Parts: sequence; structure tokens; C-alpha cells
Amino acid sequence: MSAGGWASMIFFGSAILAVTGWSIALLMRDRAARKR
Amino acid sequence: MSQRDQWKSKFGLILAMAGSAIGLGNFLRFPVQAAQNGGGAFMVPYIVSLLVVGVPLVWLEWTMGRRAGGHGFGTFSAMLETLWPTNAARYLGVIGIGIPILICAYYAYIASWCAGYAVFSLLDMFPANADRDSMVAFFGNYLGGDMRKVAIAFFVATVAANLYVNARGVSRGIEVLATYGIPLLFVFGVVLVVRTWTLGTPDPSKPDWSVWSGLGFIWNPNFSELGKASAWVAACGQIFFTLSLGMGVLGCYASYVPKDDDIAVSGIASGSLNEVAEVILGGSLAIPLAFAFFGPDATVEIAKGGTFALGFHSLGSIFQHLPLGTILGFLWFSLLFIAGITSSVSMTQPLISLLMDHYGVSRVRAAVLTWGYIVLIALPSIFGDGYIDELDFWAGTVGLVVCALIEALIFAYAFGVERGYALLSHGALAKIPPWIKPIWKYVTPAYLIWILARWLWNDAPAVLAMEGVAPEQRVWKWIGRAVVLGTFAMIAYALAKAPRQVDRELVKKELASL
Repeated sequence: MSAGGWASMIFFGSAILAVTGWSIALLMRDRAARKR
Repeated sequence: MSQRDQWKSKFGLILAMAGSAIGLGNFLRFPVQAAQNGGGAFMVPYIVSLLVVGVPLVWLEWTMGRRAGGHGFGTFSAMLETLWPTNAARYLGVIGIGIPILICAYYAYIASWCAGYAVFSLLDMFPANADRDSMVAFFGNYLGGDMRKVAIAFFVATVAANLYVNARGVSRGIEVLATYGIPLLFVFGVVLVVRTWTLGTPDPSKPDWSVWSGLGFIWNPNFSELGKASAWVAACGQIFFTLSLGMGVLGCYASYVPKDDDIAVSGIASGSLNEVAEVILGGSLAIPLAFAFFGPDATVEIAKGGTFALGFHSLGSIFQHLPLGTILGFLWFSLLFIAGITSSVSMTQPLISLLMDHYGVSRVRAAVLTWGYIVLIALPSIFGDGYIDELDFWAGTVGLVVCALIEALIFAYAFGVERGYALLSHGALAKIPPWIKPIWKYVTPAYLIWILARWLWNDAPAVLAMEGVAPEQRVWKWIGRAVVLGTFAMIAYALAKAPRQVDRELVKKELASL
């Protein structure tokens, strides 16, 4: 795989994981707040 | 009116939504599209399509669905009617109830193949040498030869499993299935990715045939492809298929969300889980494996052969040549089956909702009637060659875009983007970017019209004229067209005669105050 291939895989993979993590973190924070 | 079902938990809802979106296409269609349309560069139109069509339509469908649910309905027809209280909205909504049923008629059958192949793999029942040619012959025999009875038995079992889940309802059936099924799917996917990435070069005499070169086949960017309209159309089509857009399904699920709950962040969470399954898992498995075992030329040929050639012939063969191949094959086909069933139970929900919400039919009876109809229209899938392609083109390709265009236009121009923005923001856990409003109003409809016009211009004439279709397939294609039109007509009639309808006076009062 070329350097460009690695770069696109890492960039897009990380971006998707980051958005997923952010949205789930917001939902968990909301759930914790509701429990309190 | 009896109390409608509701999701028990936010995470159950998100997993069910993700389950609806994650399907066979995540693992079989996406890598083929990426490899054929510029590799890593394909991700540029893919992400642009996700931002200008995917996210806006996900939010739009969740908003429409939660609003219709507040009025006691979950059908696409009711969603449009609560935005635009007219007869036109009611009958345009037929498309978002009919399309998922028509897709389910062949999708459930294909999911049953995955169940069958999972069992064959575990019991080591594939041909002894299990090369690609023998797997092609095995596949043909399974669908149309001596083993057709087995295929029918697995289809019956798959229908029974779907029926059981739908009959238990949204919270006790679909939510429970997704709560266990989707995490299991991710576990299976991660195990397979780890095994794939540690394969290296399976045949040392062919050092170029490695998993890393296979990953390069998908990810190495070829920016010259970005100038081609075909890459942009392919990316937009993939976004549609992968997010279950234009089917009335997301909205139907959202109709079971309490009216003050967040839908904005939940929509992003379920959509991004789907992207993890598609881009990270789907992009790491099928094509890299095919490349490492069969080489670049054969991989191009396999990719052109479509999803069945990749998923059933090639992967079925590859796993049999690895240590613990029976287990790995079982994990692969089970992963596809879970992806399939969590989608098929969502496709039936709009018709079940029609029967329950508009007619007051019990949950169990609505599920039995829905699955009875699906089995009826699925029979030509089993016995007729060409029927699946016809349904897939009119319902699963053109129909999705038509449905999305209808909802986008009614939402933006009859209901209004300011009202839409206010509804989406209600209960939201994060501020919605205001730029979504011009995107809803101008960009999404324009993009959809362009995609639709291109498909209709390039593909529809040949499909309509049945160019290159073998004479024995023509009758099945005509049956496919009759089933598409008959299903829409039947749903329109059912909506016209329904004893429970959206209260338009109430909707008009609401619209005046929004």
C-alpha cells in the first residue's frame, strides 16, 4: 500500500471513530445526568 | 387508540437504527465500489455525499418520524401528511411503505443464504478442494439444483426468525435482537479483521499478493477518478444503500421515540456506527482477502462479478484454505446473516405500522400478514431468474432516490426548513449547525435530482426495454414489474380505506403555531 493509501485509511478511519466516540460520549453524559 | 410501543433505552434505539443500516452492502458492496471508483480517492465523494445527502436526510427522516409518532402513526404516508396535510402527501407516502417490503422480498432470501452457508461452513460441507470454480458450482446447485430444497428450508427458518422478532414488537423484539446482535456482529468483524491483517502473504512464491497490497487496492488514492461523474454517482448511491435512506424505515423507527427525546446526536451515533462497520470493517475484509489469495487480475474480475461472487464464491473458498477455516467461514457468514436480519426486521415495520396504527390490527396479526405477503412475493425470487434484478432496480435503486426526493421537497418547501430545524433541535444534546438549512433546501434536492436524472437517462431505457435479457427471464421481469405496481396499488387502497387517519385539522393548527 502506498503512503497515500495509508494516509487516507488512517485519516478517514480516525475521523469516523472520532465522530462515533464523540456522539456516544454525549449520549452517555446525558444518561449519567438523567440518573443523577 | 392503544398506547404505541416505545424504545426501552437510547442505546437500544441506536443499535436498532444501526442494525437497520448495517447490511450486506457494508461488507460486500462498499469495498467493490471503493476499489472500482478511485480507491482512497473514492472517500472524497463518499464523505461529501455523506455530508450533503446522508446526514441531512438522516436528520430529516428522524425528525419526520418522531413528529408522526407524536400523532400516533409510523408510516411514511403519515410522516408526509403531518408535514403537509393533503391527499397528495398521503398517496405519495405509499412509496415509503411499498419499497421496503419489495426489497425485503429478496433481501430476506439472500440473508437466508448466509444462514445456510454459516451452517455449511461449520459442518465442513463445502466441496473438498473448495476452489472458486467449485464454490460457483456449489452456489448454483444450492439455488437451482439438488440443494434447492435446503435453500427453501433455510428461507423458511429465516422468515420464522423474522416473524418471531416482529411479532414481539419494537421494544421486546427488534430492540432485543439489536442489543445482542450488533455487538456480536462487531466482535465477529474484529476477529475476522485481525485474522485478515495477520495473514501477510499467504503464498510466499507470490510476494505481491499480500493483504497489504489488497488494502492498497481499496485505499491507494487515484485522484483522476474524482473528475468522473460516475465516481460521484456511485458514492451517493452507496450512501443511500448504507444508511437505509429513502425507505421510510428510519422514520418508522423514529416514530417510537418519545417526543422530547434527542434525535440529533442519536442519528449521528447510529449513522457513524454504520460507517465504522462499512469503512473500517467492510474495507478491511473481502477485497484484501480476495487480493491476497487470487491476485490483482482476479480481484478486478471478482469485483466486476458483484457482491455474490465476492461474498459467497471467493470468501467461501478462501476461508476453507485457512487454519480453523470452518470457524472463520462460520463467523463471516454469521456476520452477514446478523447484518441481514437486523435490516430485514426493519423493512417490515412500515407495513406492520400501517396495519397497527391505521387499522388497529394486533401486533402478532400484523406481523403474520406482513410476512405472509413477503413470502408470497418472494416466491418468484426462488424460482424465477431475473426477478430479483428487476425488483432491485425499481425498488432498491430508483425507488429509494424518488422516495428521498419526495420527502426532501415536502420537508423543505411545504413544511419549511425553519420549522424542520426547530423540530430537530427540540431535545437535541448538541447545537445543530445552522448550515443544515440551506443544505436541506437547495443542495440535497439538487443532488438527488441529478442522481435520479442520471440513472433514468443512463440505465432506465435499457432496463425498460429489457436489452440483453434472455427470453426465459422476460416473463419473470414482467412479474417483477407487476409485483411492484400491485404492491403500491394495494397500499394506496389500504390507506384510502383505513379507519384511522392523521387528524389534518390538528396538524394545520400545529403548523400555524410552529
